[in-house]
Amino acid sequence: MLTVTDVRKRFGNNEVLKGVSLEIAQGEVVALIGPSGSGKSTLLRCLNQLERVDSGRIVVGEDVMVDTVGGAAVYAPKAKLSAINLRLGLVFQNFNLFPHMSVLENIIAAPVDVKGMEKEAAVALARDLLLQIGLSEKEDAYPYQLSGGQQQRVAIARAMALSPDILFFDEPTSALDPELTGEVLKVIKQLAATRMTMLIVTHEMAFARDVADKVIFLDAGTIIASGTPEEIFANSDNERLRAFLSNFHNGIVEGAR
Amino acid sequence: MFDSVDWGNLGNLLIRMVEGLGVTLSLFVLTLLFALPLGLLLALGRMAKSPFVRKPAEWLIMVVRGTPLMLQIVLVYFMPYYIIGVNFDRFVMATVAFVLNYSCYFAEIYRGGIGSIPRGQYEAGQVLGFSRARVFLKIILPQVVKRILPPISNEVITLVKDTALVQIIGIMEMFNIAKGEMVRIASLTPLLIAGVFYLVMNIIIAKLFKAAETKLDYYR
Repeated sequence: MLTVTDVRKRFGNNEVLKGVSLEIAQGEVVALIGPSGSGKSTLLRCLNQLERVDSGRIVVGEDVMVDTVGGAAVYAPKAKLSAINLRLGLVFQNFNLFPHMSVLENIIAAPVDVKGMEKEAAVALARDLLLQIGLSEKEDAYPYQLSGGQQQRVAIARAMALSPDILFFDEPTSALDPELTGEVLKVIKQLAATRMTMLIVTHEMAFARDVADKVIFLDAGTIIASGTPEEIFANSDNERLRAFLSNFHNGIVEGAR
Repeated sequence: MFDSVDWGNLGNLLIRMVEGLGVTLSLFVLTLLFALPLGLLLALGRMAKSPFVRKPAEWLIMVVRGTPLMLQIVLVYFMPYYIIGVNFDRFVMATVAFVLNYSCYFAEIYRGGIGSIPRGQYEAGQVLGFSRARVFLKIILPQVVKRILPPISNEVITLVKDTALVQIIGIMEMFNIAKGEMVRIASLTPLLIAGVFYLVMNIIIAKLFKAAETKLDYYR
């Protein structure tokens, strides 16, 4: 579903991604973990075309988004990039709901405006999504009237309304108070249960272990380790991974209860 | 000064001043009509990536904001005569000067408003597949409008009073007429009446902006 090969990205003198390669199969849930500044968010932003890679190859399904010819990244034509973009959804750390639109309007905006969906169909779709995330009674509310957890659930519904092939999450619970993370993680778990293909950047190790089919550890722009949650969380003999995970010991123990 | 009020004359005075008020209001409405959209274009130019667009916009705004409006009115009116030997209608040229001047002030207000919208709003729009133009029109601009209403209302209120400046090229707007009447009847009454007219206009404008702000209060 998604193949990333040797992607490099630098900001000035700072090479943030130093040749990252990974693969996500249809229906797979991949957790991307790693310390701050390791390039996790930059990788997601490159995949969602918010940043341009310097070199490397990204293929979504059968479509080549970017490839490297003679050392430089060559992107697909604009129309193709837009088509690829629509197949990829992104949930931001800070939700980024549109404050001037109601919950319902936030969800139907892109389907109606970008995809040309009939408004009634989009509303029906949005109500169905709201039901799934348990916020049916909030469709006329505005984002400022919602808690952070509710806003993030709406943001997930908004991304889902375009029926993406892959959904990316950029630390979806990092901006939330601890007591609100659960409701968001629950929605993501529900999606995982429907075999939604997802790549989740997260610091919630217990959650990563429970929900992911595969865990990737990124450190200083390089993938250090990749494997099943058991391989990553229990049996790794990699120094840096163990050092990183030791910070989260409590989280993992809590999640195991 | 006030004891010699002749009610018949006062009636005539009011009629003459209301005629001047017509000129004042036309200038006011036309300036807003053109300067509000033009200011937005200028703001976008001022924020453009290309220096060939950005720099001229920057300079224009610098010069226009850095010189008196009264001077601009004079220059805009007389320049065509000196350059191509043609005189254009006073009122039209005064309007041109006002549109130029107010576009620049509005441009800076728009720019501040646009710059205050978080990056994430653009990114969310882009990730959802909106084109750059659609992101701006559907997501950014509505939020900008809410944020800039207070500074815009400030400018609009100033505009009402600035219209008096066109008397420098002999346009008979309300204040100019009031001044003439003042000299003619040797009384301050015409000026006081003009003051009341300006005040009433601005009370109405302030109320309209308050209503608009209340209407946009439905979100934060």
